[in-house]
This record gives sequence, C-alpha cells and structure tokens, in this order.
Amino acid sequence: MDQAAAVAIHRDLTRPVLETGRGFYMTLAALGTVMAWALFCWGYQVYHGLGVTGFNRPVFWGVYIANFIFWIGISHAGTLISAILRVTQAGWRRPITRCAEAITVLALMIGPMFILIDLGRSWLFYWVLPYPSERGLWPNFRSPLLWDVSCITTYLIGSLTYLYLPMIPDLALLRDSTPCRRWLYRTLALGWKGTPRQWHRLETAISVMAVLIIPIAVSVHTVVSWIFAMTLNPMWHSTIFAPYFVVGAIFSGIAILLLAMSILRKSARLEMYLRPVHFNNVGLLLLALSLIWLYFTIAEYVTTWYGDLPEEMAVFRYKLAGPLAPYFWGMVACCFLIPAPVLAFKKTRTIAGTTAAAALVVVGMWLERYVIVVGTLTHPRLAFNWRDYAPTWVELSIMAGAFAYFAFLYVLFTKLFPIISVWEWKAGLPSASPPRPSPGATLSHEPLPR
Amino acid sequence: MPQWGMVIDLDRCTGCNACVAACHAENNLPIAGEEEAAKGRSFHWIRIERYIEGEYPNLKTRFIPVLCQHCDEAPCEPVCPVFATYHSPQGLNVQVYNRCIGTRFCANACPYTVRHFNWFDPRWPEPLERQLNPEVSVRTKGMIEKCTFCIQRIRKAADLAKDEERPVGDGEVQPACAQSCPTDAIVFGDLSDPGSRVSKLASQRRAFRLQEDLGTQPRVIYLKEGSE
Amino acid sequence: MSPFPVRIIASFHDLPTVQQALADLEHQGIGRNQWELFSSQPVGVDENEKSFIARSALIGGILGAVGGGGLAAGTAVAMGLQTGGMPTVAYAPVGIIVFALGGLGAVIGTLISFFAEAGLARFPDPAEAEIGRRLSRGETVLSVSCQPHESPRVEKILKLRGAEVYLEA
Repeated sequence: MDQAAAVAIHRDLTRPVLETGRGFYMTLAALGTVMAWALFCWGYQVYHGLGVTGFNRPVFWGVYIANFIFWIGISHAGTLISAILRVTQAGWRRPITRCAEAITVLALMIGPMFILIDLGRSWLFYWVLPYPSERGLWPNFRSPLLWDVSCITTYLIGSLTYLYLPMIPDLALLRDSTPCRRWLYRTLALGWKGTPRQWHRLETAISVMAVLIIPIAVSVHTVVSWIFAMTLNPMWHSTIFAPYFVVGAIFSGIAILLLAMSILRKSARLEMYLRPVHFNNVGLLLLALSLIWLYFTIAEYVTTWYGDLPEEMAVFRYKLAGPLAPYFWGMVACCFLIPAPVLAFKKTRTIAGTTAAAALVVVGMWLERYVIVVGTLTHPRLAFNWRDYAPTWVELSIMAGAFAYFAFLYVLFTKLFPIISVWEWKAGLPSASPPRPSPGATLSHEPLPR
Repeated sequence: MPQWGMVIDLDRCTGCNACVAACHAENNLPIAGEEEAAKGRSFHWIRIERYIEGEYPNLKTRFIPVLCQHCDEAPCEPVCPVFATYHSPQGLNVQVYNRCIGTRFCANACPYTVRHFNWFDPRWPEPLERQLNPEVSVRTKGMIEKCTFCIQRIRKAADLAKDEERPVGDGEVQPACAQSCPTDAIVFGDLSDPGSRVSKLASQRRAFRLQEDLGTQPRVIYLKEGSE
Repeated sequence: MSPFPVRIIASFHDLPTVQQALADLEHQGIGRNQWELFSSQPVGVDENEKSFIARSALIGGILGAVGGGGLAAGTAVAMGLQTGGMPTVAYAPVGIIVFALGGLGAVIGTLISFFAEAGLARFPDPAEAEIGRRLSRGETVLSVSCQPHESPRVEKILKLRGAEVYLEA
C-alpha cells in the first residue's frame, strides 16, 4: 500500500483517540450530572420501595421493562448489521462495523440494568444464578426470565468477543504509536505481532464468530418477547411476538447506528470515511425494516380486531382509541408514516434525511415497547381491576440516566479506541502497488516461497 | 393427603366485605391508606368485585369475592425465576416470601390479578399495629404476597389431628374469610373426600370456576346465583 | 539456543517487495523456518496446517449444550422438583437453555483456540517494540535468522530489494 495513504488514514482514524478537546470533557460532565441524579433516584427507590414509581395493581411493570426491551433491541445493531455484512462480504461495511458492535456491547450493559432496577429486592438479584448455596435455592429454568439470563449472558460474552477480536490489530497499532495510555493498549493487544499466522487465525476466528453471533442475537430478542408471549394475557399471548420483537430490535438497532454514525461523522471529523454512500445503504436497510415492521404490526392488530375477543378488544381499544392512542399513533407515525417516505426517495435519503428518520424510529420503537407493556397490563381479564398507569419523576429520571449512561460509555469508547477499524479500512483500499489488484487481496495470490 | 379447596355460593354473598376485614386481621395485611388505595395499591387478599348491570334506574349489582384460586395449573408458578411460588402437595399455591426477589412476573401472569406487591414496608395506623397475628409473618417491601388459604390454620389443625392420631375432620379448618361470612357463603374443606361439605357443594349443577376456559384448574368453586 | 545465532531485521515499504526478497532468500537456501514476517495488514499466506478454531467452536458448543442440559434438566430430576402436576422436566425450556449455553460454549471455544493458535497473551520483547513502531508507520518487517557467515549475503539481498536493515544481533 501507498505509505502516505497509510499514514493519513492512521492519523485520521486515531485522531479522536489522541486529541481531546474541551467538548469532550463538557459532554462527559453533562452526561455525568444526569447519571448522578439518576443514581440518586435509584437509591431513593431502593430505600423507600418501588412505591415511588407509578406502578400499581394490575400495572406491575412499566417504563423500566419497556426500557429493558428497548435497550436489548438496540443491542441488535452491531451483531446483526456487522455480522450479516461480514458474512455477505459487503465492502461498504468497513467504516461502520465497529461503530455498530460498540453499540451492541454498551446497550447490553444498559438493558439488563433495568431488570435490576425493576426488582422489588434488587440486592438479591444473584438468586437467579445457579450456584449451590446453604439455603438450597435454585433458579427455575421454566421461567422466561431465566431464559433471558442465559441468552443475554451468552450474547454479552459473544458480542464482547466479536467487538474485541477485530480490534486487536488496532490495539497493537495504538500500543506502538500512541504516547498515552500505553499500558491499556499493551495489555489489551495481548502481544499481537501481525505475523501471517496471526492474521490468518484472526480472520478465521472473526468469520466463525460472525456466523455464531447471528443465531445468538436472534435468540435473545426471541426470549425477551417470550416474557410476554408465554403469559395468558390479552395481546401478549401471541405467536408472532418472537419474530415481531426481533424485527423491531433490528429496526431500532439500525436507527441508533445511523444516529451514532451521523454524530461521529461531525464530532470525530470522519467525513472522509463515513460518506453519503454509507448513509444511503444503511438508510435502505432501515426502510426495508420499516416495511417489515409495518407488516408485522398490521398482522398482529388486524387478527386481534377480526377475532374480536372481549378481553383482547379491551386492550386493543385502549391502545388505538383510549388513553394510549397518542403513544400508539405516535409510534405508527415515527416508525412508518414519516420515515418511510423520507427513506424511499433518493432525494431525501441524504445524510440529514436518514439521520432525521433514524431519530424518529428510535422514538417510535421506544413507544412501541411502552404500548405493548402498558397496554396489556392496564386491562387484565377481570374488568374490575382495570387501571391506568403514568410514570413518576423517579422512573423518568432513571430512564434519562440510562440514556445518559449509554452516551457516556459511547463517548468514552470513542476516546479510548478508534471507532473505525484502521486495519480493515486499509485492507479495503485499492492498492497503489500492482501485485495487489483488488481490495482485500493478499499475498496468497502469489504463494510465499517455503 | 387432603386436597384443599373452597366453595363460594354467590347466591348467598351479600357483598358485605366481612371476609375482607377478617382476612386483613388474620394475615397481617398492611393498610395501604386512602392515598395509596386511590393509586390502586390497596391490599386485599380477598376482594369483592362489583359488576353493575342494566341502565339507571334499573340497576343490579352483582358481587363476586375473588381470592387466589390456587390453580392446579397455575400460570404464576412456572414464571417465577427463583421458585418463590410453587405448588404444595396439598394443592396449595404457596408463596415463599423470603425467596421472592420482586420481579412481579407472577402478578402479571395471574389471570385473576390476585397477587399483591409490597410497594413500601408495611404500615398500620394506630392501634392496628398492636393486633398483629403472631402466627403469620409480616412481609417487607419488595415482595409479592397473596391468599394462603390461611395456611397457618391448616397447619395448626393438622398438628392437633396428628397429636390425637386422627385425620383432620371436615370443617375443622376454617380460613378467616369462611369463618367470618355471616351468610355462610364461603365453605372450605378437603376436595378429595367425597363426603366433605365442600365436595358435596362443588358437585352441584350451579358450580362453575372462574375463567375455567383458560385451563388453569382453579381450586375455588363458585356456585351460580339461583336455585339448584 | 537457536541454531541461527544472528538475527537480521529489515523493514520494507510494501508486501510485494517482501515477496521478491523472500524468493531471493529461498534461492540462497534460507528456508521458511528461518524468517518471520510482521505486517500491519492481513497477509493470507498458504497455511498448510488447518486451523482448529472452527472445530474448537463446535466442541465448545457441544460441551456447553451438554452442560446446559445438565443444568436445566439434570438438576430438576436430582432435586425432585415439586411442580404441582406438571412434568418434572419441561422440554422446551431445557431446549432454550441448551441453545443458550451451547452458544456460550462455542464462543468460549473460539476465543480460547484463537488465543492458543495465534500465540497471543504473551508480551513482546524489546526488539519487537521497534517492529511494532515500524508497523504502525505502515511498513512491513521481515526478521531473518541465519548463521554468522550467511549474514552479509542476507543483508545484501534485503538491501537490494530496497529494505532498510536496522538491526543485526
């Protein structure tokens, strides 16, 4: 490769890691303030009890569980985008895979936190883990919550691995070229030297992980949906919930990815790397998912309406024409009505257009989770117990804290690690030297002498 | 082994709420208070549901006391991640307070909405805190609780019968709600004994079970209004 | 003690010249066991020995699945779960746990075999720190070990191909 180009890429992509401006500290301070407030609110809730929330009987779950589903959904950004793009060898994936994988890992740190916050006795959360104890306690593997514990654990470890493996060569690069934080990169690079054998093994391991992570990711939102679908509750007990949730998860994941790309493009000055073509391609993916999401939503609601069971219709009406109607129609507007036309036309599928559409989709998918959780719970089968729900300041503060925490971790991540894979970007360049004709071409075109 | 069950005769129920008060006293139910009750956080292991039929002025109010149905196929049991709720060999749906971590999944899974969550530590207005039943544990914040069929009374009767080397007799165990019902609408006993009063009542043609179509196999049998 | 006491490290500007240099060295009888290549770019050399990573993932997956089955079904049987008329072992939930832990086993299998085969988690010696610095500048580094009498010849070949020989030890 052209050495000047290599140096330029290296400089561009490691610049956010090396140069720290005032904006960085101000962002962290602002996010940290929100987080500190949320932490206080959580302490307040633990001290006084869950009564400080808006929960009641029958609405035992609310904003927290909606956030749990939402964040686990967001986590489908990385793996499903980057693994599918890697498996299909889409060349344009190079600048966005790590950006997406980081979203996955960080969102997976936020999501399960909401289960912890939602517990009546948070301090006993570890009782769901299988370990022999003097109390003779054992978790119940029949519970969908245990399926979640198992699948999310696997997914977290899997996606951490999937984020880490392709990062090793870049960590070695930073170890060798960075004046600061050497101990960190030195430790994490694990002595990577870049021998042909290491490169070969790395590519093997990445492709094995890309294949592995797809079914694991699908299983995670499947079991999340089964928390609801496995009960007998009206409009939860639905056979299409698993694929509906998985589609929604990928949908919201792509939207968050677009938002992150758009923010990084400006804040990390990566205009040369995150180009309009990437926004165009990811925008098309978002459009496809918007249509699939609409299809599932129609399938779910039309069959309920036609079936006309009284218990189901109570929930149905509450969602479409009752107090939840603004949330429901807001969801339809944010997930389909507005973003789909914006994404459909080439003229509006610009960076600004896709970013705006993605922001709406994120909001819309949050509303979907809220409508699903709250709609059913307000209308249990025995009509005597129907009751509305509204979150309190404690719940909203903790939710704001989670969003701030996610942003905080993401900003920190982009500060510590190059958010675009340096070596993958270089490997994708058409080389100046003649014997390497195509992107990704390697020495194997002319076998090395033995 | 006895298989405990209950019959509630809706023809006799006047909706007087004596069972609710008795249950509060027997089982140390916290008093939510006016403000919390308005938020939907009242504690009643048994409640009188009221359904009003007809148009004003020709109204008819119908009552149905609803408590934990102790389902044989209970939707709440499999969903608990820590086995805090499980099925006892005597057919009771048992809640182990100390095991509960407060996911409230069981409460959401229950089609009868009879499970209650301790939103705060329990409170009693003066002087109710002085009449707590020493045989029933007080629950703390963050736990689910619900009707136990007055398991402390079942235990006591079983212990006494064991001391006297005889089986527990019919009518010997009386939950607080059955004991306090002025019209004798609530009858408790062993469903596996065909001679028991509860079995005989349950075999009437008036008998039905709440939301039987869900397949939950409830242990509480209701008798329709009207004569046999 | 290595049979080749002298080590010559040279850096090149691109991979093709390295290839040519390696061909020259081969002519001079310097074989595969005498050189090592370091690159900041993927180099897909012809690896005759097959990687064990995929098989390791499979083995890990099977172990994880068996462990998951033991955890979910085995303990229920061993403890004699009281389920109120439902079967002691519920097959669908066991299947889910088997799937999840099978996936976990496969991930861990992949990770372990990758670390082992790539020789990671070992820290570089000081000579290699300089290699790293050169790699980070986009250069490709070749390290050749040889007998003392071969070293002038090796050095000449490398320099002819435009390399910068920066270390001889």
